[in-house]
Amino acid sequence: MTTLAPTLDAASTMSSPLLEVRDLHVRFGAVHAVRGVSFDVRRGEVLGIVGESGSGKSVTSNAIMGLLPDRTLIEGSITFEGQELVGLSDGAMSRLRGARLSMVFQDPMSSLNPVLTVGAQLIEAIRIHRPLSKAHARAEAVALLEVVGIPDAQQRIDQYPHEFSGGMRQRAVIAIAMANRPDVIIADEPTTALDVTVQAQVLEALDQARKHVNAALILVTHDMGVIAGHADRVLVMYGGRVVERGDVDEVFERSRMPYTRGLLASIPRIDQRDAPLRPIPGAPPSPATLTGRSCPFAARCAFAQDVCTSVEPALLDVGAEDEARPLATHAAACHFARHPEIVRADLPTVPEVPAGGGRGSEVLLAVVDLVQRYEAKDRAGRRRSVVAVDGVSFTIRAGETLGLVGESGCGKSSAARAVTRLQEMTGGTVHVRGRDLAAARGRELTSMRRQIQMVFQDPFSSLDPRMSVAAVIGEALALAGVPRRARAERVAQLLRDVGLSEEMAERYPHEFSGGQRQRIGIARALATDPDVVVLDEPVSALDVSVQAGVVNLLARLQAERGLGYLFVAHDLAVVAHISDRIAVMYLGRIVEIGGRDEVFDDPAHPYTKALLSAIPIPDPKVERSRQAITLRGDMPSPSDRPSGCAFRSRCPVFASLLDDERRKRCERDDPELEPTSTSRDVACHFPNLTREVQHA
Amino acid sequence: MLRFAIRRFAIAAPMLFIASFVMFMMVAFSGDPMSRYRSMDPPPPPEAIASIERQLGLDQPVLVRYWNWLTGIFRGDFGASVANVDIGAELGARMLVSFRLIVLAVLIAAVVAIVVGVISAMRQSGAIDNVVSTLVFIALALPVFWVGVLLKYAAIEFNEAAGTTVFYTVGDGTSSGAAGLELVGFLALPTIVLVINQFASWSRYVRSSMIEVLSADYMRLARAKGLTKGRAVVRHGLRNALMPFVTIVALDFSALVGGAIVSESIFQWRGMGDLLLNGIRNLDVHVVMAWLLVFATATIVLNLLADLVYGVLDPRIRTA
Amino acid sequence: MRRFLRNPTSLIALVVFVLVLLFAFVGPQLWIYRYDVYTDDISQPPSLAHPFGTDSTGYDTMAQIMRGTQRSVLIALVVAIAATVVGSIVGAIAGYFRGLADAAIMRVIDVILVFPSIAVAAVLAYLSMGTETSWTTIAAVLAFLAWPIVARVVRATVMSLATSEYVLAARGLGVSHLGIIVRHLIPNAMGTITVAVTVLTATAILSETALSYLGFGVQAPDTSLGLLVSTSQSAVMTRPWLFYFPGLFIVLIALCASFIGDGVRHALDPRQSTRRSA
Repeated sequence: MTTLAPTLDAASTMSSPLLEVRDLHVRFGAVHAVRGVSFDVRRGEVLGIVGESGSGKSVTSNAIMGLLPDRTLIEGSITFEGQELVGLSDGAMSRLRGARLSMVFQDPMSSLNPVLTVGAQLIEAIRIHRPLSKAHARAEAVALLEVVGIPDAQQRIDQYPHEFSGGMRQRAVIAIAMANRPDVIIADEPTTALDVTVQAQVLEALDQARKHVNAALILVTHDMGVIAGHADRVLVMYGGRVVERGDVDEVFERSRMPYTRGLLASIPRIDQRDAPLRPIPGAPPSPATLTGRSCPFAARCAFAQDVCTSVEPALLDVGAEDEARPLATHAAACHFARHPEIVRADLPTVPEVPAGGGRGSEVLLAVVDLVQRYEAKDRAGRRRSVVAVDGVSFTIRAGETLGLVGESGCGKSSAARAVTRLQEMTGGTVHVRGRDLAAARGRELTSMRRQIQMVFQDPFSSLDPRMSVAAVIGEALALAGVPRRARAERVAQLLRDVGLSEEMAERYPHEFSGGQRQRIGIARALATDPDVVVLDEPVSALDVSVQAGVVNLLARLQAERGLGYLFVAHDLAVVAHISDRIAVMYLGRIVEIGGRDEVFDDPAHPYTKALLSAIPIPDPKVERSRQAITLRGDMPSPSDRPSGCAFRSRCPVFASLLDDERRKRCERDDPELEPTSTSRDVACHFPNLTREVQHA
Repeated sequence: MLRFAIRRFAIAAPMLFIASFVMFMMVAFSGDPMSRYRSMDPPPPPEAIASIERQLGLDQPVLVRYWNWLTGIFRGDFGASVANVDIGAELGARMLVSFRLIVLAVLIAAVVAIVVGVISAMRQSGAIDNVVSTLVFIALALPVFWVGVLLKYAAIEFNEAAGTTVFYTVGDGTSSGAAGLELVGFLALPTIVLVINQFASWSRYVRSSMIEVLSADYMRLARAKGLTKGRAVVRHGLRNALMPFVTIVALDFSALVGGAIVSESIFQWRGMGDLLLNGIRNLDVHVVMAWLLVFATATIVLNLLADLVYGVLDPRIRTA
Repeated sequence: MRRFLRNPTSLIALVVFVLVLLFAFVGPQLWIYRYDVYTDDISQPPSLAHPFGTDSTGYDTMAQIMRGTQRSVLIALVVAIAATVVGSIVGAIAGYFRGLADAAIMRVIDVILVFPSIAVAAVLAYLSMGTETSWTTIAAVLAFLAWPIVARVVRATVMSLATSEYVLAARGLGVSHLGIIVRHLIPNAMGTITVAVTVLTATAILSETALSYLGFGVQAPDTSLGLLVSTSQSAVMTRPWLFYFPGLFIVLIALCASFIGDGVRHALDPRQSTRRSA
């Protein structure tokens, strides 16, 4: 989607890279975090750096900016327009930072100073490098905010960061990054903390910014889909090194590195919902454990041979050589990179989960008109009542998964907590196998809790750090009435069931990786032999290569036990894989609910359609041909819900397809969930128009 | 912001009322102010004791006494003193002496704490930080009275060596009519004692708060904009790190008053400390209660002020 | 624990503290002089016979310091432990249940903290006991004034722990409130609580000695480090050993407690843990 713009000095653009990194090593004490990374970047191009936690991608980008802690040992060379940056003083580096090299960080909620207005921070960025008058700088600041798509920039410039939504804050950070027309912009996981619809907006803003100042962009991310849609070239990092590099199409289609191939095969795709996910066994290595005497991926590699555990492979060129740009040639760090018969061989197949195994017709969970209201205090101490869940109904049958999706703040997690009675519900009923959970008290409640269990999002906080695995699971078994004698055997059995070994029972949570902890959390939930398991974002905190294993595990357990799943997630691709039915939530209500394929193939609510179009697909050909429907703005706060249809403030149908008469209906009447077919309900006055929404 | 201020005030005012009640009950039930007379040898006639009791109002039920005392306060009457002094007038004179010392010490201690804490934080675990931290830990462990006495005798030697009284080691200077610069000689030593007593814990606080701020994302963004480390700290770090410090200063008021009582005692000031200690020794109930009321009020007002200052500094509260 | 022992300063502090305890509690059994028996040596500077010298009435200063340290440390430890136990329980209840219980507890704490603690301690100790103040009264008064501080800290810790997912998971399993507090919250707040004990030991010893210095603490013929400093303050020029040794002991004890606390804090600091995100 991006072509070089040889507008300026074509000759220099082609011959000399802006930024050259050669054999970069970064050490924090004994930890060797980056181990010999080389690449270069030219004006106008987008270089993607993709990797999981511990791969060294963030350390590399911070090293370029000179933002690593003082006592970090940096070796090798980073040159910008021929000037060496390694070893440059803070003062000299400061003259380049923000002026020639700039950076966008991961978490927009914390990267702006909370006590200064957005404008003050933007104007400061301008005036550090250019002696403009305040008024002049302010005018420029307003213009910058408009470029990145902040509405009413003239007014909003005087607001504080906490008055901006996450997406708006990230735009403001992008405006700061482009304030002095830098030559290189480094975006370090710029959309990881944001919802998909906002991610699409922010990536667009970043693209706008880059084109506006004709800079090179280094896009650091863990998301192969983002790389596929936005990068020209890609570096795949693993264990502190570049393990594959090359043109995006080349790497995605003809990868010569088993890690890259494994990663691509493990990512769920909404366009291939029934393809099996192939997990990569194990977890990414921690930089502290790398020896440099073996391939860092060997332990997880399907094609590993003896040489892999004794010699660390060098980056071998495998593509057609580009004389002018040796570092652009497709290369992979695998002993067998030049043996396609080995590295292009088929990945091992995964055991098929018997589809629909254990499915029954019995309704396990019936939720009717669930309302969750809570009192919140704002920072000034005033109380307000917020309706997080506003009349949600659904049922889940034995062996069935209902995927509950929506952006952050839509109420899906509140709904999950109310359904499990971790929070007292304000209204509505929840029946588990016909028994009323909402009305249960005392002993009855305790016994009913066994039937509906929850798996939590954060594997680092969901296990008590002071309890061994046996104690964690044992606590659940004790409450389920398993006698003390029988517990050790049950713990061992449960650990085997979730793919761990029974020797791990005496270990403590900190000795496990994120994926393993999540499996322990699943074992705890299963210990009481529940009917329904509520999965609250169960894989979103895990590394990409680990997610598939957990998703497959959940599918297998469901088939074996006939469990009903309520799968709450913001990642529609994961949900698409495991769900039988999908419910889409917006501002506390379900706006569309129906069979998975019906909802995904032919969404009837414009919000569903926009959500689906915003999910990046990890395939450059497909992704570049798609166009996202960009929703305007953010989801309103539940405390100021628009009248009539709550979605109309962002609705593409309302904005461009309706005449005034029909718009009035959206403004006046709150749409009810109504069936469009036997298996799907939609809350929209004009569901037939959704198909006509143009990809903007 | 106005609503915020009103809310805070609405919380603070009843606090003072409740505090005064608790304090009155505590003093009323913890001892018999007449025990001193009863244990005299030979014991005074019971009628004499009864008459003093009547004079002090001790013959009435405790709730009535509280009511009388409370209504008295609003008329500016703090009740009768065993030592026959006008409590209101005495309080006025002594508050001037003591609060002069406390305010000066707070200001100096806060400045020293900020400088020391910020430098320590920026050189975290470096040589400077290690030396400063060790000194701070020693200062934390120093008893006020011990340092006070040491300083007092050091000052006496210094005065002898100088041949003139540079540091006054006895009295607060008001009785000798000292004013302006002359007062500095009187104030210097007690102030130093109090500063040593207080800056150490505050500098630890500033240090840890600054270290937290230094690792904040917005500090990284500030540097990514092109600010050097030092300028980023001054422009973006300080205000964020010092906001919570305002609250801590107010919270530590009680500890400071403790230090002030001790150092006034060492240098024989006729300040609030002396008033309290004598009041307790004489079992002078109304003096003690007037004293406690003054400081409870001061604590509550200070906390209220700290909340308001915080509100002004932090736009997340101000604009809410 | 291992991390604590790897920190040389806190390890030394721990050893010194144990030595001080031995000196104060075992020392009197071994030392030839008693704190309340005169010797024939009057106003002797430190010598082999009297390592810390003697005072103008012939008391052996080392014997007196042993006794004073014993009293001061005993009071400090009792205050620290009592205040920590009460403060932790109350703080955990406030932080876990929130709502009305929390509001009530916090208001009580606010009222206690509104008064300068040394003044209240002096009033309570003197009014209730007159001049016969025993060490237990002082310990009780100081503990009463110290628990609210612990309660505040523990409350904040428990509040943040109570929102962690493992507590939610326990609730989802049907673990009782008591079970959650005892099995999950208190063990995980142990770090904060340990730090509170050490910090309180340091402040308690300083408060007790200050109170004794002012004349509202431990009374003669018994003695404490604060009282020793108080009675010897006029002798700084003439018999400095009387003044310096008890003072140095106070500093030593408070310093050890602070360093031990700092060591515990460092050992538990999550920012120093091995978990790093790239």
